[in-house]
Amino acid sequence: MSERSRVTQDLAHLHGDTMELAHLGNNLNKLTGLTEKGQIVPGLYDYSDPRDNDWNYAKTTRFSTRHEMLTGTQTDGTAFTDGVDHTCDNWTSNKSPAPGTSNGNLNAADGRPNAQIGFPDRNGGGSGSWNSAHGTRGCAQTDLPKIHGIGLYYCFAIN
Amino acid sequence: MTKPHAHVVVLWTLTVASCLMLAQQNAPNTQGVTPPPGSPTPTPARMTFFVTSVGLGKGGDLGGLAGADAHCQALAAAVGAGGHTWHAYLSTQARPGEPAVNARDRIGTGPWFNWSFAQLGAPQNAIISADLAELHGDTLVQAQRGSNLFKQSTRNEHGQVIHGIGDTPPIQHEILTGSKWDGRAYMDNADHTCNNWTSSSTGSAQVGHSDRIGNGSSWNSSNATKGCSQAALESSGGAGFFYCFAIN
Repeated sequence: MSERSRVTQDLAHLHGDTMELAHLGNNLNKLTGLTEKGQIVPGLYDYSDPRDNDWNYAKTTRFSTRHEMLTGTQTDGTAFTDGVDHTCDNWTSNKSPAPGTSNGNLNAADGRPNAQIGFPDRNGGGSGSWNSAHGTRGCAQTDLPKIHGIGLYYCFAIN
Repeated sequence: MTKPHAHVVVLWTLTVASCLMLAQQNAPNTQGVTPPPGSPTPTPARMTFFVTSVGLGKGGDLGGLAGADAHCQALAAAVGAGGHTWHAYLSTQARPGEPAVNARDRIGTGPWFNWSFAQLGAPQNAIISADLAELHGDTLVQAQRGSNLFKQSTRNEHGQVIHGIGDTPPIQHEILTGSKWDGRAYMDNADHTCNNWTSSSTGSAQVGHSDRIGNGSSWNSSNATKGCSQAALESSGGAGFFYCFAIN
């Protein structure tokens, strides 16, 4: 196993549970955050094609920017407790915001279908957080590509 | 700020040079380098952060903080951003009669903007950080989130991304800081600053990674160099580059 292939050692390292661990950061990055086929997830500016924002295009290629991983979590890996939607209604909703209510803001808000996402390439969203950078423009499949996601998420083996 | 023509020529030259540079990377990335039609006139003075596009070539010997600051100032001036006072993001360690200097205390209070902001107005990823606390992750949540300092925002004064892990060699992502992750100087007796940025032979310097890849994901404090010669810096993916911040 090469040094580069280890994403993280333990939960504390993954989430940065202490100040020191949080500053050091984990090793989840563009070259380790791979798909099950060993492919890099196209990230910020890899393919600067405006069609990336259109699901009808994104679904036809694996070369569109798609670095927003659904997590629904806070930076420490725990669930939000603020009473607004960060999980597309616990991963059961494909709703878009009601017409006229989308404010372009990626933060969650009362009554707004939304999921929190993070970036495997650590590029984007104002923080580069792997698990909790910002929200989405809605929960419909066509909403996710508007800000460079397609509904991918992280899978970990628990044993 | 003379004739419109001058801007066009300068921009065209920069753009071509940048595209040539970026074309050598594995992943094409031209956004942030070629301004789209209708973009505002480039305003280099709006840039308040960059990574040096070239080092001083003498390893960890930067001529002390003064030499490093002068390098930042000269590089900034060469691209039209010399109106600011520029400081290098570097710490120095305490010596007899000489207190330690913390990098975080040298760079003003922010917010800081990268080259993209100067060229394009206010595109995504142009702001590096709002303030010192966000930049350094002073609270646990801030530390877990990280700042907006990452590979695609951490550009040199020409707007070029620094070659990081996975890019075409030479990899140049080890950025000299001499600092702990909180942006402060080391207080132990080991050398973390190439003898306060005067050694190009013995010693070692603490570096961070501009792409936030390698031994964790810290931008300012990830590992120590193998030595202070230019060759030693290059042997582990560095070039003797450092971060420059405008303090005003």
